[in-house]
Amino acid sequence: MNATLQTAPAARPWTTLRTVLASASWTNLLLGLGWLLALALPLLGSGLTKAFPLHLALCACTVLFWAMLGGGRLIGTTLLASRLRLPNIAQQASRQVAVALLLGVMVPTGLMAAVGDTHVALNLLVLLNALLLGLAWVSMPPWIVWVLLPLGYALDWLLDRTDNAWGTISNAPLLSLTATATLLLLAVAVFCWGMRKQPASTQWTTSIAQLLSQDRLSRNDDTSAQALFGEGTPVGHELRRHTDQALSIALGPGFGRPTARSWLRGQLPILGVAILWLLMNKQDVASTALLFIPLLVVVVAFPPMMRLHTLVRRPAQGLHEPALLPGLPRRPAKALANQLGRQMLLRAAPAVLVLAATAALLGAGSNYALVLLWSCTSALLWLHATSLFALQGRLGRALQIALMVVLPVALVATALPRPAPDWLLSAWSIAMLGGALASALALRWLGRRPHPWLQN
Amino acid sequence: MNALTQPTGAHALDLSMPLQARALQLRYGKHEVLRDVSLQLPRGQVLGLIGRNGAGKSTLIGCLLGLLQPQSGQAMVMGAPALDMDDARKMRVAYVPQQPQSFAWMKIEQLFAYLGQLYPSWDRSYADTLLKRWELDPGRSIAKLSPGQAQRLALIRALAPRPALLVLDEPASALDPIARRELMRDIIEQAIDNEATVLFSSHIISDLERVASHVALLHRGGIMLNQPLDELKERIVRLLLPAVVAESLPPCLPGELLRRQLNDGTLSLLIDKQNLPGELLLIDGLRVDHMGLEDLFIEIAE
Repeated sequence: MNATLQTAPAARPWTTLRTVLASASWTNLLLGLGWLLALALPLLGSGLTKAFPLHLALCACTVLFWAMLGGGRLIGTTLLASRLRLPNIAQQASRQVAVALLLGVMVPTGLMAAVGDTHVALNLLVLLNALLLGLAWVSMPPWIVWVLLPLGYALDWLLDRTDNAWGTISNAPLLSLTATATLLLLAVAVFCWGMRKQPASTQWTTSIAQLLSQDRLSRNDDTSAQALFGEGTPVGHELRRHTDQALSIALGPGFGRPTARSWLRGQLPILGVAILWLLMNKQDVASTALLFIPLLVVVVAFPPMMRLHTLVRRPAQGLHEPALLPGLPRRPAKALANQLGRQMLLRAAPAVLVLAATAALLGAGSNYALVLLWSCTSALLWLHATSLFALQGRLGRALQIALMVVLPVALVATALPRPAPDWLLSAWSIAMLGGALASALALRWLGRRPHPWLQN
Repeated sequence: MNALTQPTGAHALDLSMPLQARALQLRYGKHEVLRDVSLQLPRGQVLGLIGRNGAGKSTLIGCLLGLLQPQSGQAMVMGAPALDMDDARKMRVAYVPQQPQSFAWMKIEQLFAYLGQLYPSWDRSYADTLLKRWELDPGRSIAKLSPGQAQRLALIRALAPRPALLVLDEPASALDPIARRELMRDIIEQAIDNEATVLFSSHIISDLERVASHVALLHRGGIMLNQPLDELKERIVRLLLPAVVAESLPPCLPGELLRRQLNDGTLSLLIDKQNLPGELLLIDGLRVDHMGLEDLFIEIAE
């Protein structure tokens, strides 16, 4: 027998660590921030005496995001490797799990202990839960979110109507609650992968991890694309006169004019969430809902931005089409900026209306709707600008990522259930002005390039 | 205003020279992909671009079509800068990428209805004939096509507007041998019927030999050879010189393309026969090899 086949190559030191870090990509920065917070906040005297201190909560959040991206990619790659029948997959996977546990759980727990946090077991379990939650999340197909939301609310509703159910749960020791959650999350993740006997063939059954590994998220054959360009989608007529429409079709899902049916289908999730919130109309549900309403509005406007991002990252998916097709607008940069803005607005406007009405029915403060409108417009303007800047160059893309981190925080932080202070509107007005200026600058910059569809 | 009816701009449409490149240079970071590449593709020429994987074929095609912006140099399409093509030119240019993935959300018939509106010269009956010949169902969703079918579809959509310039990036890589032959036949038909100019990249030498009138060899970012195929096979020879003679040779002979010392000390010289110094032929132990295109490619690219 060939000697090279008999002996497996020895694992090079740091290879597993490098693999885990490479998979987590930019979320390593988040994890680093989590470590820093775990160390710094207790030193600054923040909440060591509380049952669930701030540094632990923030650190758990960073671990969650780290596990979602890195874990998703690693699981996806492991699946792919097993399908390719590569050797030593189990050993590699177990080494990766060990490294992930070390980086995501052990190190931050150790850091917290080093600065005087004595709840070592609790910290360990909470961080493990965060890690497992991330893994469980990416083990499920994306549509599950629409099932989990009503299920969560239904459970809440059921517990409300069961004598002293909440009391029993909240009086249970925190440690045992966390341990139960750990087991539950582990069971969910194992169940998701254990049930999968055949390689998933459709997005409907494909987990987020597999989508990440196959890079199928936001590709033009996904369900969002089907929603926009479903059966019998019109490809327009008289396109030689309607060059903007021709361009939007060339750009693909997210840009093309949807049919009334697919447009309605796109709005259904928002309507569903709004109805659910109204049905569950309780104080805590209402205040949570009001916090997340602006974020929902902005998320609804994402498809055209994601499509543009995909085209730039994967030009083979059709970036050459708008560059080479005849009969498209003569000023492509301006046409693209207009199309992007129009599509974002077309999606966000109905969501603003529905969710502002929902907020009013949930008892939001008098100027909540105004703050909602202002904050969402500002956010959309900034997203519009960074999407255009991100068409070229690392700086533009870095700006876009930074905005993706800052915007949700700003939107949630300023969506106050109580009447908002006067300065808030002024602050969002300045942000709106800045966003409009940034959009104009992005358009000007884009107009200076030979055309916006360059692949380098 | 209808973009298709607008005037073509400052550059007159030059159909005699569909594609031209002058001193193209492109690098990604420190990696130089194209080094001073110049190329001319007159009307009716079928140029096969060969090179190893990663030699820069797709990058060169991207620059020639204005999809990539070179750091220096310029590509011209029918007399206008490739980066600033107008509709009059775009109507006459067709491009087939290496892995066609565009318009995956449409059905074939939807795609053709869309493209038929944009290309005034869209030949619907020709498209239907090709669809039938290659057994593609117009009602089929493009996302569900196999790679080979997707490539066939991309070829049909490129041929249907009856382009004056057809640029194909590894067009046959996902096709079976029968489909490859049919494709090559269609390329030739297209070139003859419409006096179309064709540029196609490939590393399947047999395909190239079947249809190309000219061959350009891209190696390490530069064009090493660009000649009519017959002339290339006729003129380029390999000389094998004994080791004792090798040391006495000047560092570069007229017409020399490549020099390589073999393991036994023999010197292998790739040289243009027309420039071959007569005294070289008198050397004892000299061997002259006429080479096929594949051998030539391997000799240079190795």
